[in-house]
Amino acid sequence: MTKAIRSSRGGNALSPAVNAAATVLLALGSLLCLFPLALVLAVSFTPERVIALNGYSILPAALSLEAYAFLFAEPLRIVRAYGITIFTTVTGTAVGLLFISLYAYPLSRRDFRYRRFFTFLVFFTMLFNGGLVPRYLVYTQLLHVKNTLLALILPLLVNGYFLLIMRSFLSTTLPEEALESARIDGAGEFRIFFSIVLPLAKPALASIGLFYTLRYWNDWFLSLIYITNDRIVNLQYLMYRVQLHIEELQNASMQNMSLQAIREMADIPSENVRMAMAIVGIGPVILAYPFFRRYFVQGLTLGSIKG
Amino acid sequence: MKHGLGMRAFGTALAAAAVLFAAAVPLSAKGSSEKPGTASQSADVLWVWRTDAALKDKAMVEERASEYLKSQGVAVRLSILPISTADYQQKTQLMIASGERMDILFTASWLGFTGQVAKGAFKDITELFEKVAVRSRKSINPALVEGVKIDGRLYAFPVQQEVALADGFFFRRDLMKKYGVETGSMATLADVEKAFALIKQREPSVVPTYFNKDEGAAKLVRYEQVGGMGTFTGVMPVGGSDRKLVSLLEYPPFLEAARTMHRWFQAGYVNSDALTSDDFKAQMSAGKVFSKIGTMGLYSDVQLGASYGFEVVKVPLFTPLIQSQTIMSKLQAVPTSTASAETAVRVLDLANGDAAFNNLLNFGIEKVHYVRTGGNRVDWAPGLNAKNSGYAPNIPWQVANVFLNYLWPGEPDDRNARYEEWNAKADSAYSLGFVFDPEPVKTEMSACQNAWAQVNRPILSGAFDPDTAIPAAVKLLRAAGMDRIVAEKQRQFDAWTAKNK
Repeated sequence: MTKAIRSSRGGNALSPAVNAAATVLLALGSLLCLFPLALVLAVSFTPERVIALNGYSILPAALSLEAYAFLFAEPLRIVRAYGITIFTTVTGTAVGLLFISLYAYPLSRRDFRYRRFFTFLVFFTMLFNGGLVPRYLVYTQLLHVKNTLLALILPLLVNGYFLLIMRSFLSTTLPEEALESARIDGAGEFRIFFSIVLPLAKPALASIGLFYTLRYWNDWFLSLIYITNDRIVNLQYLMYRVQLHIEELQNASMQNMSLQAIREMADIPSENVRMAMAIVGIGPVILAYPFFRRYFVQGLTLGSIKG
Repeated sequence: MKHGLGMRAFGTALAAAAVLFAAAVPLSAKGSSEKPGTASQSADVLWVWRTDAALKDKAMVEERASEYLKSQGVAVRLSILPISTADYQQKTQLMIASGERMDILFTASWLGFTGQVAKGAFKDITELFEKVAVRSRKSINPALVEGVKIDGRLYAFPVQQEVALADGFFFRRDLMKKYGVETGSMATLADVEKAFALIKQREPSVVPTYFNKDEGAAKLVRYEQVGGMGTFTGVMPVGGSDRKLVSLLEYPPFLEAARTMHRWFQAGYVNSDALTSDDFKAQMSAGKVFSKIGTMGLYSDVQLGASYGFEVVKVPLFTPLIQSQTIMSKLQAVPTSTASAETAVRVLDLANGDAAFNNLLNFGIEKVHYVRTGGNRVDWAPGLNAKNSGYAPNIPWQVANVFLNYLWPGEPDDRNARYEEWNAKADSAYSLGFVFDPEPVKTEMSACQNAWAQVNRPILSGAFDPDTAIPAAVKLLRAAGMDRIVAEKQRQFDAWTAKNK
């Protein structure tokens, strides 16, 4: 039996000892990566008082749901924020990818006469921008997107850096011959773009898509400046606000809050809420990695010219 | 351009993009139907509040407030725009900079009031206050109104409340009782040190004092902050006999205090993780701390006690002091973008001079959000508390005249008399009324703020030896331009003294 396995090893296979050692080593490495996450999870379920007494512990002396109960005191609020975040992330990523590939593709074509000008247009925005106040003026008084979902999508939609990555990818990997042959077969520019260019660009789309997803998912600043309506804030911003609200309450000694109110607020948890927010904030975005990885592999193994 | 990407195709692509964009626009329709910031009818008064409360019944209270305003001859619709504490400063700065319509705005020295006045963000309401604010001229202490003026002009209503503060210690009453430590016997730092030694020895699981950021050694000395904007910008002894400003780090009594703090740290009287821990409240509530160094007002002990869940004794080290930045720390201003400054002042006048309106704004509607329990005493309506009430903004200290507030359980019947006594007994800073304008040294200010944030903790908590840490910090701050800041403040202060004293 052993012999059969051994003989099945190819010339490059590892010896069982090295294999075992590597497995153990990599398993340890994975555990090291998982440990902080497990600790955060454990602390999020620890009662505040136990944290104050014993500090963080992977095996808490007591368990409680107080942090989650506090966060989900108004379940609708968090669910709505989740909905907003998922919507802006999905829409923003999809539309953003479409926009930058539509922009990057012509720039990658050597026969496009104005490509220097349009490249410079993008490049310029990477070096200079108008600053916060003018940007705020444009979005609120010209485009009137304050307190709308567009305010959470529009400002991140086209990113010069991503666009230039896309352009470089297309101009280095897109074979002129493939476009040529498509044209000979009678395909128009849009046909070429959607049937040839986009499928070939999958690896770039996947990595840039991941960047986009993370940017939209982790964004809280847009909510901070453009949203004053509590119903359309996203998840990260809601968390950020809860965190600062807790800090504010802890430093509230100088304020004339009514005593009644102080007493009611006294038992608000803080350390465990911080961890619970991290857990809630990770959410489905953790699934984005495996999803996009599939396309990396697919894209890399795809042959572009056959025959 | 035979094989080229023709301009026609490019144009079509652009058109397609435009169509996509237009398709995305209706997304905004749902949100925009309930835009709170666009109260554009001229008969509206938009009041911006800084609160984290949910205010579910806000519309109901606004309705009632508008009715009340009408009955008082101010026919406007009041709308309140609550902005959370976390982003209040940034959001309101942008709203001011972009000239967005606002009628009344909560502001303060710590939110950049003086800088905003310099930029013309607020209406000069000196004359309006004289002419229109009939009730407030009676209900607000004139000294307070004078105190918030800038160069003799009024840009905001002060929110009348206690204005005198003292630095000192908060102790746990149960431990003081247990070891027979009398409050009266804690007059000096040496007395406190004795109590710390006792606690350290007898209650090994309790740390005698827990460092809370920005406090520690800075609260063990008495000085005038002279116009605020950070202690590194220059302080002077209380009273004005010596009017030469020095940075706190170079203020001789501070060196003594820092040495004391360091001695305490070495003796184990301060939590050993003071350099990193910001966990003060949790540690205190868990009963692992004996005392807190800090700034106190008249009811700070009761408030802290309520927050920690056990009784707290306050022991001020010094006579309370009234300083510019305390008075300036709660203001209601009328932004330049207002539709009508006069209407805004009328609304503010009612809030500060009319008890019914004041309490409506602060606590909501009687029998819905609160109930009367006799006289001026109130309590939550049955089943409600600060967390589940549909209207509990919890910010009487920033809305308007606190002396008009109803009395809640725990507050004494003679609250206002006690406030007035506390304020009256206090010392007034020599520099009261002077406000430092950091604009000329803006660059140095931000450089110094960064440097100060790096170095203050080891010194204030006593973790480092001040005899080496302070000179090092001074060197760092000098390099960041501290001397130019102190000199600029001295120049402004001298000019102010020449004009006002």
